[in-house]
Amino acid sequence: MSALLRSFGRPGVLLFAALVTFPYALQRVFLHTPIESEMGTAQKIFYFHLPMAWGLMLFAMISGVAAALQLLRRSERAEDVAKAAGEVCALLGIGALMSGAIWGDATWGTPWTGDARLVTTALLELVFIAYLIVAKFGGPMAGRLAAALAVFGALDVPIIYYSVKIWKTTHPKAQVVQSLPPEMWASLWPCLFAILACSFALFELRLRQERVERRLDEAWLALSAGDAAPAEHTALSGRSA
Amino acid sequence: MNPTIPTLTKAPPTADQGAAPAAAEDGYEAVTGLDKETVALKRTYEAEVEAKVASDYSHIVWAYGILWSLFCGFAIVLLVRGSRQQRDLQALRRELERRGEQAVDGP
Amino acid sequence: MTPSLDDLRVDARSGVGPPSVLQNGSVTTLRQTWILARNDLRQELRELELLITSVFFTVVILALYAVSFAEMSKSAQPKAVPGMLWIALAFVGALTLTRVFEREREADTFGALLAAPVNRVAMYGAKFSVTLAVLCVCAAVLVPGLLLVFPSSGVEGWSALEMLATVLLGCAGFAAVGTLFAAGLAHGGGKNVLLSVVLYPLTTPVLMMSLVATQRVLQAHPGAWDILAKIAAVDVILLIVGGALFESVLVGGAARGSGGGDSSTGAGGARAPRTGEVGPDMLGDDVR
Repeated sequence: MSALLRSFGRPGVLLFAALVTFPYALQRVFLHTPIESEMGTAQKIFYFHLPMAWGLMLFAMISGVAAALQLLRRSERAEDVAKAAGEVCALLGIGALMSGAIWGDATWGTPWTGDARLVTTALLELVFIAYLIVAKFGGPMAGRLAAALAVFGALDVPIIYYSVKIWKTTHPKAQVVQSLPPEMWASLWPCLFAILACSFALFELRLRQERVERRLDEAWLALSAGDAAPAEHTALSGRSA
Repeated sequence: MNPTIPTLTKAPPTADQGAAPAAAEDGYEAVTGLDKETVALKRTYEAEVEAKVASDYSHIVWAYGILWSLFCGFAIVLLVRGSRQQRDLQALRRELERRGEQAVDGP
Repeated sequence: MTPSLDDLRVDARSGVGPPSVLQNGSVTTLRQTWILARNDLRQELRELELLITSVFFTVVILALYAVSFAEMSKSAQPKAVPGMLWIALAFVGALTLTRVFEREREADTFGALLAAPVNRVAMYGAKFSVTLAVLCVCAAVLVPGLLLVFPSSGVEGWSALEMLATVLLGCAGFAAVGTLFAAGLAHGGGKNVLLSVVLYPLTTPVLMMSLVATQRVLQAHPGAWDILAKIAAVDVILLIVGGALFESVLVGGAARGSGGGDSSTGAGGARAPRTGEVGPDMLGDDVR
């Protein structure tokens, strides 16, 4: 077992942790948490909706900061981080929006309202989908343009957070989370952990692939350059053992 | 909602209001319990709650299912991409070995 | 943006070069911005190409609105007309931004300008000003036009000054984001269709706030200045970030060496200095 875990590395450990935590979180949510008086059973969607939304903001921030570093320091490492975080951010955003729509359908009776927090979250999601589109199809300057996009996307995160206060809204206010009864908090933590562990595992896997991709590209290029080949050969063939 | 089904717009009458005084007169003792109207109201109420809970659970199943299938979908994308990179790496190694042999055979 | 060489030479003589600009202070930057913007506007006034196309496009949209929504009820107009205004401005804005940089692309002057001793922030500021000016001219056609076609959209006695401020601030926020990305796409030879993909998600918060502000102005709502102040704050943030990123988005790759060296392509210029790294470390622990 430990050998298996080691062979998977840190993402494997994180995924394993998420896999163990998830059933525990589920039984806590359904068996040991009181039913919320106003919204009823449907409120149980909240325990995974909120971690998705927090994860969305967290990865938007990570992507934005990494993209800023990429632009200011021309760091390739930061570019890989920004790209991987951008993809996970888009994934979590879809999850948060869809679970939110389902929850809204159960409690508000409508999947979508023109509420400020919903609109800004949807915008953040659009920004990161645009980020992925630009990174893929943007031509020779795609990396830097996409990075600038991610920086603006991260700027949007505080706007999302404060939009609840600035605009009239039906979404539960941010203070609601602080006033949760302790049993609900106790159920929220494992859910948060499961979602974030899973997201970070996927993020790290994606990050590794991005780095491998870059190195493979460089290796092929060096190979096609011809004269550099012998040096690489000794280095690379040593790896195959 | 069906208009013939009574709803809990008023408080349900308590059981001991009507039947209890009549029982004392002729020695007949009524079974203590709920009158029909209250029972009907309670059943309606239960049905409503059941419908709400059932709909809530179907929403929950959908929400959780979508969340985890999103994660699984992304993981599958990563797997596919990873195996493509593995193939690329193998091709690179083969190419290097080929060149190495050429270098040994050559000059 | 063909700045006259004399203007730039004046700056070059006074010792203004890209690295020293910040030390020389914002006055020089402002002056360079003014020179570049004036040149652009002068050329524009000579040809009128940008203005004529943009204003004509505005009029076409206005006509389409008038035809499509001719039967709109009076009660719906106050809600709908601000939306029409900002959707039209967003479309015209994208068109204008594409055109503003298309000219540089056609004449291939962007590279020359990047090599000239001009502060990048000044280039950003100049393009921003030109876009803003064109958008304001379009708004000057659009606002009276919409009010003429939909007369019930505003109450009696709404303030024209507030409307002017709303249009200025809203367009400024739009242009602040748009200038950066249009410049990046034009300079890198990216596809123009991506401009819309990038522009609309990023500018929607500003457009939404402007929409609310326009509704309040037309209704003579007392809270109009409140939201205008918030738009102004967002504008300042967008301008600062846009100006700060302009150089790294445009020049990042150029400073690094010959073309294609940018990390985004995952290939090219980074290769040469890196060949020595092709080794166990390079394919290191990521390959498992």
